Amino acid sequence: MKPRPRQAAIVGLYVTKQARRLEGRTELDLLMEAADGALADAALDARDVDGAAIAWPGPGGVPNEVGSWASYFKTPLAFTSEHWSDCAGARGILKAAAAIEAGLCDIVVLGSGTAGQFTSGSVGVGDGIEFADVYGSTAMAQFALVMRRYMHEYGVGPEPFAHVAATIRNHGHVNPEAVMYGAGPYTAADVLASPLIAAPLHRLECALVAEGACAIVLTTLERARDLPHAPVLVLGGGMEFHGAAYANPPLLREMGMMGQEAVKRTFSAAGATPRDVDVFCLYDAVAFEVVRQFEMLGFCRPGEGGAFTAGDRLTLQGDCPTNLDGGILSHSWIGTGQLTLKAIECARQLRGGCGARQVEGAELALATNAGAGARHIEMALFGRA
Amino acid sequence: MLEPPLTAYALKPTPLTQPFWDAARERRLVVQHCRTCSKKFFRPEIACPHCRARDWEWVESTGKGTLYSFAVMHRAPSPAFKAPFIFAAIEMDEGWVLFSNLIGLEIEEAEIGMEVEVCFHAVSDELTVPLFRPARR
Repeated sequence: MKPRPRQAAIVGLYVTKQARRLEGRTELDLLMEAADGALADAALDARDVDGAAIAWPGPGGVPNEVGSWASYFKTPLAFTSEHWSDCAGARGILKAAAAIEAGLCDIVVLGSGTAGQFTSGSVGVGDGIEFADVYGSTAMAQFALVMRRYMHEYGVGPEPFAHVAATIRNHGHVNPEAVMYGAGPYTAADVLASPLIAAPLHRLECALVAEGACAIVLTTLERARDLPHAPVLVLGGGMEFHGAAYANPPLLREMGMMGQEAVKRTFSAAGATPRDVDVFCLYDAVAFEVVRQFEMLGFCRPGEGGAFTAGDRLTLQGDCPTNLDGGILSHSWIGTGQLTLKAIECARQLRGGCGARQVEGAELALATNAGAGARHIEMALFGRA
Repeated sequence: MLEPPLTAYALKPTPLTQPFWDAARERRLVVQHCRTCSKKFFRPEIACPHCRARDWEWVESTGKGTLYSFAVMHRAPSPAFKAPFIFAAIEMDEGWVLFSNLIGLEIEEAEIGMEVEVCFHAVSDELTVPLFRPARR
């Protein structure tokens, strides 16, 4: 693909320590470490940053007001994103890249994370979702609704999803940065023997809750050529929103293949197809969603994702290496920062130097965020310059 | 036998949603009916999601539907819920869908496609929630 004028590229990245609990750390303290780390990685100065797509939780400034970063970066900032999902993952990166390519700003720091917030209990889907919260809704519960209906309609048992969960957790088992490093190895039988959380979902099929932060730096490809790391191009992306997240029941007939339009948009922008992808960093809040996304991507027909993801296909040795860092099942889940971790693993694989989990010669990497249970999805395709 | 899981909740209704909760307190399940396209819709919206018309009315539902899918919640999302319970998606015979809890049966008896009917659980003086139980034959 010929780079676009002012083509946006990732030039710096940083991930703080990820752990169940980071004693004594606050979210903003972690975010500043991540921002500084990503800028150091990019060899750029904080006072040159004119775009902020990084969460501002406070204290100081005004909480949830991203413009508060002006005092830490450049004053005036030329661009800010909204505090929540615009500061993370494919959604945040696509908007920041669009801002750079539109000439609104030149250097964006994007990031988010969490600390001290989710110390125990389940993760709900947020306060104030009337007609869902009163029935005990959680994110896991809503994914479980789609998964059970899928199993019912296609006559699929729990084993294929347990296999995918075990595969991804085994990736985290050997990643020293993963929260669940050394906790395995796992078999599908181990997953099925773990406690039921929101049946049919077992605990080991569900994402972690951890603490940490991460950040990336984006600028133009032209600027990137003078910087130390090989630039990672934002080749294309797509998003779909089917109403407010977690507010209405996710029906399989509407959500089963949700994301196909975003896939089309993502790959047509890049002049590629899903079969060209070397590295998959797919949303794995639950293992079922990974199976569904291979159907969405067109690798197999609806109901056949379990057969497609069997064996070692999703491993480094397979033809669809997926979530080699351990994903949010095993590497880490840090609020909206988990969305950015997908893009960071893509960028690391494209730069090379991922050590034992490096996909040799990786040229195209796909990050996806959210899925069927949430009734929205965002994705971005990354490549080498 | 599964019982109503919710023990306490501070509802924050809006002017749009208040009629639903008022009706529930009177043990009636109501839904918006579009006068332009004659379809029903839920959750409450200002404009019909089917045809965009704003000419709608609240009507009483038959309360009959089927179990579209469900999750057996072994872990309560907050201390206000008694686990285990069933978080359900109910597809009403009238063509609208909603979240609810399925009660009045054993967990093992829950089955996709089973016929269900509305019942009501008074959580407090202010809040009554519509729940579902197996339909009586």
